[in-house]
Amino acid sequence: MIENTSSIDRVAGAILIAGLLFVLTPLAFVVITATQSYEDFLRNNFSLIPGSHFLENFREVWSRTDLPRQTLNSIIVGGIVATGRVALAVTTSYAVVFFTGRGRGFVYALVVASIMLPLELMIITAYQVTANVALPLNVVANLGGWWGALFGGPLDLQWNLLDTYAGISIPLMAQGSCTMILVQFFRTIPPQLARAAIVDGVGPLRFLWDILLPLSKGPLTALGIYMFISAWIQYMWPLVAASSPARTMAVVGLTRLQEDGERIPDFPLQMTGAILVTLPPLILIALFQRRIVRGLTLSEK
Amino acid sequence: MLETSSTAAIGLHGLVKSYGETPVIPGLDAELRGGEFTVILGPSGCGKSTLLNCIAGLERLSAGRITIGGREVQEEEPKNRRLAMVFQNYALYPHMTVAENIGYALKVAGVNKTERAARVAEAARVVELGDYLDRRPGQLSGGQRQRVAIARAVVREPQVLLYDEPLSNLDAKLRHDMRRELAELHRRIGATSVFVTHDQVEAMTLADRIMVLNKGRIEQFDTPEAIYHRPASTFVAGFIGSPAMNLVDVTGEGGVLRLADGTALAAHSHRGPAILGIRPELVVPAPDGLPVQITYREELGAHAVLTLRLPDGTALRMATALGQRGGLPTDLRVALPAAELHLFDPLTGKALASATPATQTKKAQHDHVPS
Amino acid sequence: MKQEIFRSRWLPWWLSAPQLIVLFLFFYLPIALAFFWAFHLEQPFGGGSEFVGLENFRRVLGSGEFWTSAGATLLYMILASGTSITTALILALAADRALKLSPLARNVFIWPKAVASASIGVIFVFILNPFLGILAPLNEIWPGFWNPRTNVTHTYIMLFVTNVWNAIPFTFIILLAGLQAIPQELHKAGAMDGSGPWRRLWDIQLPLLTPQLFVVIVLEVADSLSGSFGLIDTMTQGGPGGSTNLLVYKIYSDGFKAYDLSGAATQTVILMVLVACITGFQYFFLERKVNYDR
Repeated sequence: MIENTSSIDRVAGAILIAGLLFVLTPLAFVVITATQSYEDFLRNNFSLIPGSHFLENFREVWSRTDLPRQTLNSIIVGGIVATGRVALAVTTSYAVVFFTGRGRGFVYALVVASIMLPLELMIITAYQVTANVALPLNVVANLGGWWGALFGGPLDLQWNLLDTYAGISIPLMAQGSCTMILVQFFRTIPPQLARAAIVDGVGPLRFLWDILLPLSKGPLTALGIYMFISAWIQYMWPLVAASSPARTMAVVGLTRLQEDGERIPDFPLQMTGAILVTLPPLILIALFQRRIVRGLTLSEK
Repeated sequence: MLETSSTAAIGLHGLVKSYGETPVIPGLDAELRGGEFTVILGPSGCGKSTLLNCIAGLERLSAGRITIGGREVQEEEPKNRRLAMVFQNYALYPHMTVAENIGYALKVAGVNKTERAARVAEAARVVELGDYLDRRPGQLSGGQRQRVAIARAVVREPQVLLYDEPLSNLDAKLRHDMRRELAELHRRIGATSVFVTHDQVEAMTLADRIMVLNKGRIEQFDTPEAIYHRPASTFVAGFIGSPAMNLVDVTGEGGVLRLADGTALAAHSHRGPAILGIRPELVVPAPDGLPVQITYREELGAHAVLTLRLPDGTALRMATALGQRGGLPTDLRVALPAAELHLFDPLTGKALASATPATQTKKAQHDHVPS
Repeated sequence: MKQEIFRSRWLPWWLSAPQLIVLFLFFYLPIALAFFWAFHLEQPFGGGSEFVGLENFRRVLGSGEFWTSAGATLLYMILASGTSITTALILALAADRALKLSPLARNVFIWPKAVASASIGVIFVFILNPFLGILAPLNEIWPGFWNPRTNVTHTYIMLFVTNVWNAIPFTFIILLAGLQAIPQELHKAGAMDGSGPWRRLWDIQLPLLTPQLFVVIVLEVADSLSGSFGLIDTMTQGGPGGSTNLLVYKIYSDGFKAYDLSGAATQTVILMVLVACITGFQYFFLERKVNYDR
């Protein structure tokens, strides 16, 4: 277009530069601080000049703290949550989009409603449920005391998932955004595709496995990566659901690097830990930026 | 009554537009006369929309000049060119009412509220939209949206009205009605109009003059009549007319045109190889003509289109006279009247001067304003 | 809904069952339990529960600490989502233009998504440390210029800045996608109508972005609360003087540190109802104003 856009472009450029500085400066400080030794840091306080101590710091984090183990936990939990959420989303969205019958709208509403109230708001009772997943069975069995009448005592099953990978992961899957995005995507698939499959004598499960899943590989990968990152950066739930260091996730571990209060904390060490904890998801985001954005914005069209 | 202050001619001088290395318009000269309705016609990808966008100022020229009413505008912003445009998918502002859509340009220009309302009402009246002024575009039918788009263009009383395939999203009946209304509108407001389309019916019915574009070059720029009856090239001949003109390779021997196998096809004084063109409706049955075989017959109700096979196997289409019913004899013989023949150069595809009676075509093609 | 192709009575239920079970156990059951405990008192030493009617609410609503916390929560929700949405909107409008920097910015602006709220809390509490951080030199010139540990305004500024940093990506992605979905032709039509790029920003881009803005506002209000825990736990621990003891953090302390299950559950119910009301309000009063057929 022939148009004089220099004034708006100059302002937009300045905004972008300011935004880039705002996002990148903290990260740069983390990296610079991580390269300094504790002694240097005490002497110079905040410095803009990188030191040469990064490897030493890293070795210390690696050997003296629980972070490597906790990073592995984050990978495991992230993997379980990502796979689980995508799998649950696939089956539910498939049922919601491709089947006739009653209840589909109701199921979808149940799923979408879960987006509005984050897990953090109901942390106390979610903890209670995880401490005994058999709780609803007990409640149903003891309603009106019929179980007691039959078996001579109230049902009291105990199934504690706290401090297990399942107990940390599954509650993180109880959120419908992944399903919502996938439902939007499935709705863009031409219905003729499924009709053709029916004409060819392909059943619903076969259609899901042979046609729909291969077709959705791109969006599913993007969603999986995004859900992995979302699980990785969780803090409150892993904090309460895992009490032993063996199950603690990396982000929680990072905040526990400093707990001895009085003296000036070993910030270089802490920032080195921050790098270790942040780098894996950051690399994923930077590499898969396009795919993730496309996957997420699918639902906004 | 809406009126344009003056009618402005549009001059295109050595216009070049390329995207990177790819030239879309390699160099184009033409004069679009003031007050005329010019249709730019061509297949998709011929550069017609690019040309329109260049005139509008939505695309920057790679080289060349554009004048509107004698004023050079190629560096001007669209808003300073005193033109308005109707877009293919209307490009209405979905969040504004019909009245706000039509009046937006006036609002931007700082026209006061009362005058704005009066002019919007007038423009809406011209396109018969008065009852819908408070609706949003989403609540209108395709035809009504089209009218809003037109009203939005005419309300600014532009010197030049540009249309980018405005009818292509409408169904056949609506397209027909809108075509009539556009012709009507043009007669009333008289602004210089440029209309881009790939539809030859729109071109033939609306245009004062048609510019046939192929690969960014003008094949022919002339009245619909001349384009139909005196096509300047095989491209124009094949593009205009339905069914398309027959094009047959022949060799002239100074009195007769022969097919490759020696069959005499028609009488003509041309010597040497040529492409012979003849419209299907001008192929006529003749008792002493060429014996042909009917290989295919399309019944269209009012008339039929036959595919004939000449003795050497060449296919030839023939349209029967309108209103004619019943079959043709199986031993059909046809003739190609000498007066209706077009001859084209087999290498360049250009009409051979000796074969086209009128020379107007040539003249129009090289029409441009002396600079 | 579109599609609807296969007919089967039970298969769709089997297919949705896993997700419904997970949602039931870890979403709907916790909500129900919160309501249960809000009306019951837990017996000491795990001896079951006793129905107490509105007693828990009377206790919670009668404490000044709760009202301070609720006020802080409301203030935080409004200002945190307001600042982060405004920032992301400005960045998206700038990144929407075809500048040389735009592709880089579009990538970098979603990096903060990879950083946990607790991690960025740890990082910013260090960077903004009044004695060691980047503002320390200013504190040496003007003592008390920056002290988030004692000055409530400074504390909140620190929280909002950190929250904005962390909340940019999602909002930015949604808003940028919304801007890019605006047909190029509308810009062209605007230019033909004499509307320059600045004017089109107000007259065309922002009005057409309202559906996305709506989505973002709804989600960001709830998100600002869930993200607040990581920030507060690592940056202020509710201080100074309980001024940043938001309900999310207070519920956590009351439940897990003071073992007051009924009190925590009651506040959970109040918080959930508050969030649900805000969301519902947005649906009924904002949504109908923002949808156009494109």
